[in-house]
Amino acid sequence: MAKTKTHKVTMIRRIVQAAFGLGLIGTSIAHNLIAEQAGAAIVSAEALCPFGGLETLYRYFTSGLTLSKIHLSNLVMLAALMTGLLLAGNAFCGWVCPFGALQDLLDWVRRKLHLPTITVPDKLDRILRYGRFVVLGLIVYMTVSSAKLWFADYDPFRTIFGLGWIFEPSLQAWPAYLIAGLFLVGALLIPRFWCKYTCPLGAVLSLTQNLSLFRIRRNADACKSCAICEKPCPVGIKVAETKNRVSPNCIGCLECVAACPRKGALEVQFAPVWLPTQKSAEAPRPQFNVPVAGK
Amino acid sequence: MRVNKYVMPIVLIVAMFAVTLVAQATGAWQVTGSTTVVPTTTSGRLDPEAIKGKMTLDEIITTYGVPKDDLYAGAKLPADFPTSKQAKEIESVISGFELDALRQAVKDYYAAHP
Repeated sequence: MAKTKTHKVTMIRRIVQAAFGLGLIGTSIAHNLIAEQAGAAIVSAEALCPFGGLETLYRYFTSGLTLSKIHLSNLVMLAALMTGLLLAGNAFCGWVCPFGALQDLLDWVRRKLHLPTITVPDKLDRILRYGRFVVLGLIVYMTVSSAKLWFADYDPFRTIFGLGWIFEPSLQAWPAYLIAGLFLVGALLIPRFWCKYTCPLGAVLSLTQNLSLFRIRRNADACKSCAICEKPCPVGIKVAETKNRVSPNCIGCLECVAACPRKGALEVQFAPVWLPTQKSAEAPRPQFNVPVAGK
Repeated sequence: MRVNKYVMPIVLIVAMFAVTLVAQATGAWQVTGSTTVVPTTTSGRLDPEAIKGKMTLDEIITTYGVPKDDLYAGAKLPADFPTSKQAKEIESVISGFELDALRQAVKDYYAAHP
């Protein structure tokens, strides 16, 4: 079997994802092993989650307090994420989020094991993507009405990266283990399963994506709609069918830009909302038969 | 205007670290509830809602001025439960226990002793 080419973008992205993922796991280990004994304030995995900041936002502004298990660091992470989002779009999901990295790792494992992937029909896919907003609405409602971190008992991010399943395993936490297990199986069968259909933070980010200064744009004049760019997209965006801006569901991973064989057809642009749509100043090159690049 | 494709992740990561560093420099970076300043209520007493899982029962008794017997009775804790335990540890020892029970016990004590 011929080996598929791995783009430089993919390699760099994997290194960055690994750095953030391993950094989080290392911090979590230190928190579990050292912090409790020494009384030191070593940050926990959940204290770094921006979504925790979103969950406590209402309570913080109405009472000045944070929800139990949520700290000011969560609000800082939310502010940091929103700043990054306004500047660079959803690149957080594609480059930084350890949950995204774990899903990419599972997808890599699936391909190495030659396991089949489940292809969700387009119509069903479009409907299921609203699941993120349902999850978001449920969490916000339950958190505000109960004034508790309701989602903490089910959150697969907390379950997996908090490492409680290693350091403090408990049968009482079976709903969290079950959800985490379903998440892992789902991500093994459908690339970026959590991001596409369930992630409440992704729902928020998709709403604000259009405000970012930088974005991936498709130049319809240069694009030949060969759809080579769609093959490596982890979230299954029909890039070659987009009008101008790539979908709000884009995670900014740049795999499509790296895969595109036509110069100027798909590129990152400084394109804030107040500027009119701009096309690449460079003329498109003639189209060649370029082999499809796998990840 | 076309830019280098790596601008997106670089700007994102730099922006996130910059905000975090500013927060650390200004003291806004708190990663544990035990360092949170406990606010007061309109009546001038410490707000029971600010009780955190990191606090030991001793700290709650001392900080909020609630006698041990009243706190334990209000939260339905066994009398011999060690006061050196953190509030969050109770959940793993006593099934169904929630931190809110301690908060409510303090509120009840305040109501009974205005």
